[in-house]
Parts: sequence; C-alpha cells; structure tokens
Amino acid sequence: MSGDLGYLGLMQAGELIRTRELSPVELTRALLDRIERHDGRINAFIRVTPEAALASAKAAEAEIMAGGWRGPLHGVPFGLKDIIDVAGVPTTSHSKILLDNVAKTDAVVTARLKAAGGVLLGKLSTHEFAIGGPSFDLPFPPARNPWNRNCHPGGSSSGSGAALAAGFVPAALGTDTGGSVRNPASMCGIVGMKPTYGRVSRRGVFPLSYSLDHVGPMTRSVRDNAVLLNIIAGHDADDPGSANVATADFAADIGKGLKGVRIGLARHLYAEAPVASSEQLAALDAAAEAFRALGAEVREIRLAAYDDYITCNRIILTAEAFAIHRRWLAERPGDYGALTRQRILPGASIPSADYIDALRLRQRLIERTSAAMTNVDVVLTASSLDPTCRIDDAEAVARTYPRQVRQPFNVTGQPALAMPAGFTRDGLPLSLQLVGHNFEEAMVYRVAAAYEEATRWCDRRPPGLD
Amino acid sequence: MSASDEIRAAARAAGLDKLTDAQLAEFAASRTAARGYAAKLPKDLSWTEEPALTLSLTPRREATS
Repeated sequence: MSGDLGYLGLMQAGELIRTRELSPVELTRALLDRIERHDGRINAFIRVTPEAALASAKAAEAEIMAGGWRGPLHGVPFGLKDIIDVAGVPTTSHSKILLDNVAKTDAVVTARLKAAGGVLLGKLSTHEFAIGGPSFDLPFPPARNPWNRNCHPGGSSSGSGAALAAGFVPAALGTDTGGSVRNPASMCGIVGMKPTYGRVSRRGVFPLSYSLDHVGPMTRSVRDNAVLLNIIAGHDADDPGSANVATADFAADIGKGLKGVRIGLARHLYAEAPVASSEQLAALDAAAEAFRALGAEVREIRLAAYDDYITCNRIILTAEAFAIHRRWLAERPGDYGALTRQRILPGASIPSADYIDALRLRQRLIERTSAAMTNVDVVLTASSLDPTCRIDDAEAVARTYPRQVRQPFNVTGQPALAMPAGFTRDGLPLSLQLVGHNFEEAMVYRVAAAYEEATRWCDRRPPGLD
Repeated sequence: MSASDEIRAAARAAGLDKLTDAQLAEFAASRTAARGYAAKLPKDLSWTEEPALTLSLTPRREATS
C-alpha cells in the first residue's frame, strides 16, 4: 500500500489489515520510520522497541494470513505511557528513581492490548510520576507539542498526546488523576477519555493517587477511542477499585444522532470564575449551538461550586501521592525533579482529619453532581480554559494548572471525554469536554461522534511532519 | 525556635530529614499550600456524611489447587 500511513486511524488500519490490503509489518515499519525522522524534535517516546514491534507485527501478519484475525487492533501499533508495565521493559515513570525498574509482568491493560493483537511500538513520555512536568531536570526531555514545538503538549500523558498528533501511533493509553488524559488531548487536538472510575484495571500501572487514578484511551477519532476502550475495559478482581459492572460495545450508539438527547451546559465552570480565554469561550459557545443544530436539547445547568471540586481533588491527590512517595522522598529527595517534589510535598502537611474531610466532601460532591444531572444525558463544559503555552515559560505553564475543568470528574469518577473544538488564530487546538453518568460511556461517545462528524476538526494535521 | 528550625523540625516529623536547604524551602512553601487547601474545606460537614472510600469487600474466593 502506498501513501503516508502516519495518520491512518485504528479502525481504518484494522480494516485494511483484515482485508489484507495492508500488512502489519508495512504499517509498523512506516511508523517506526516516521518516529525515527521526527521524534528527535518532539520527544514523544522515552523508549522505542523496534525489534519487539516488528516481531509482533510479523506474528500478527502470519496469524491473519492463516485466517486468525482477532479484531480491530490485530496488527495495529500502539504506545503506552511509561508508568504502565510491559514485561521485560523498564517502567521509568520518566524518573531517575525508577531508571532500572524492569517490569516483571504486563499490566492488565497491556495484556489486554497484546491479547487483541496490538503491536507495541514503545513507551511514551510522561510528567515524572504523572505529576512533575513539563520538566528539564529529568533523565529524559519533556515531550513537545506537534502543533508548535515550542509549546507544552499538556500532561501528564504528554507523550501519548504528542505521539498521536504527530502521527506516530493510531492509539495510545494515558492515565488521568487530575486530568492527565484530557489535558494532552485538549492541547494536542486529539480525543482522550477518562472512563468511569473502576471501568479499567489499574493493576500494573504506577499509582499517583489510588482513589483518583484512571487509565484511559487516547486516539485521533471518537470511534477509535470507543473501540480502544472496548479492548481495555472490564472487571479485574485483583484491582480493589475495579467495578464489577458488565461492559458492552461502547461504539454501539455512534451514528444514532442526537434527536432527543439532553445536554446540560455547565457554563458556570468556565464562564464565571475562572473565565476561559475569549477564543476558548467562543469555541464552547459555538459547540453548544452545533449540538442544538444537531437536534439535541441544550440547557444550562449548575453542578457544585468549582472551588469545592478543586479543593477536594488537591487534598486527596497530594495526601495519597505523599503516602506513595514518602520513603523515596526521605531517602533520595534529590533524585526527583523539582516540580515533582513541589507538587507532592504538600501531602506531607495535610492532617489526617483534613484528608477524611476531603473524602466526605467528595461523597457530597458525587451526590450533588448526580442530582444536578438528573434530567440530562451528558454535560458539556470546558476541558482547558486556554490554548497551550510555551513549554519553557514555567510561569505560563503553572498558570494553566488551575485553569481547567477536569479535576471535578476525577472527584466524582464519572466518564469524561476531551476532544477538539476548533483552533486559535495561531493554529493551536481548542477543546471541549463531555461528561456522562457513571458507566454510560456509550452515550458520551454517541454525542462526541455526532459533533466530530459535523465539525471534522479531527481532520487537521500539525504542520511540518510530512 | 527560629522559623528555619521549625521548618526543619516539621520536615523531620514527616520523615524528611535529608532535605537540602533548597528542598527545605520547597517544603516550607508546600506547608503554605497545604494550609491553603485545608482552609477551603467546607465547615458544615455533618458527622452523618461518610467519606467516599474505595473499599469494596467480596466473599472469599474458592480455593484453587
């Protein structure tokens, strides 16, 4: 097959492979070549695993040629954030602390992707331990934004977002504790889903905060995202947070249209305090109109107060993260990047009663959010309040952290998807967020896919990556 | 006790007795941040409002041979 294979989607590639119009080996070689040519300027990968990838691709090709096609990921390359274990490969968490940490077994999600026939291309950059970045004092450089390589790609699943936008992989996994799948999705113009808490096993994924961590699929299209979630979702009896809830085809409702769908517009989360940038605000207003034009009923609703969600997330996240890191912080504080230390250390000074109160506040917020959504199917709100900024401007990057609407849904555990909603005058991605009821990812994908089909923002490509 | 002695003592109490002076300054700033978070917690939580916990018990599993 001729032509550039960099931007083939998961489903497109899977179908071409199924019909034997495309060889998994040809696709894998093409993407490895693309990574070789461009990743020196983007740093999406910490470690590329070409030999293992080609071996997997050859095995997939032989199996498919023998009539053993396993499904849409069979023979299709993917990447993993480097806090997710792959047997025999280091999981560094982008940190000096874990440089030699070779995983003994696959994470559950890795095993599921391998069982589906996926071809792992390598491990992707992250903020150190999924919290400290973008940083220039770590063993690996930070990933950069393919839309403008002077800019931050968002984090902490920064390499996953950058690799997708750059056309290095059609599918990747990230993790999301305070927005780390949805932030790079927003900054890189791709689709990122934080599924319902417990929907996807976290076993074999280095934790940041046990009660807030989610593993999520990242792709360039909504349907690809739903298909990737189909593969990684499912109950895991050995993950204490795993939900014993049946999974169905998350893509099943895509294409059903929006007639009769009720969308709650949570404008107060991005148009009161804090207030989104003018371009982001205009994109969200335009999106609300687009949903109305597609037949949805859109009306404003109010969830709980923005500050309550943020306070709750911050206290729980830092307290749990400090509990995880305190031994290394005690013994090897200088081996952490400065930003990581600065973001985890507040957890050392949170009294146990405040942690418990944050958990009590969390239950209150879950109940209030659910009550506010009683008469709607999904919520439309912002993901980021601003487009990306320069990666080397530490103050600008720091300002972006509180200017987001992602943390509320780590607190409530609801499924939340970020996707492109336009571009700035300078050609940088803008985004929106759709939030569903617990375990109703299929409705989120239905709404997101209708918007994607109407706008086709997903068809734009970053410049200079031919 | 001076302010820096107090910070060092608080760090030691948290098990962090190998911090350099620069890292102690980070620790001092982190205490201010933590107090800021705590100050924003609602004051009207009732004792009847239980914490959101992830603990979910299951019956014992069948033994495997």
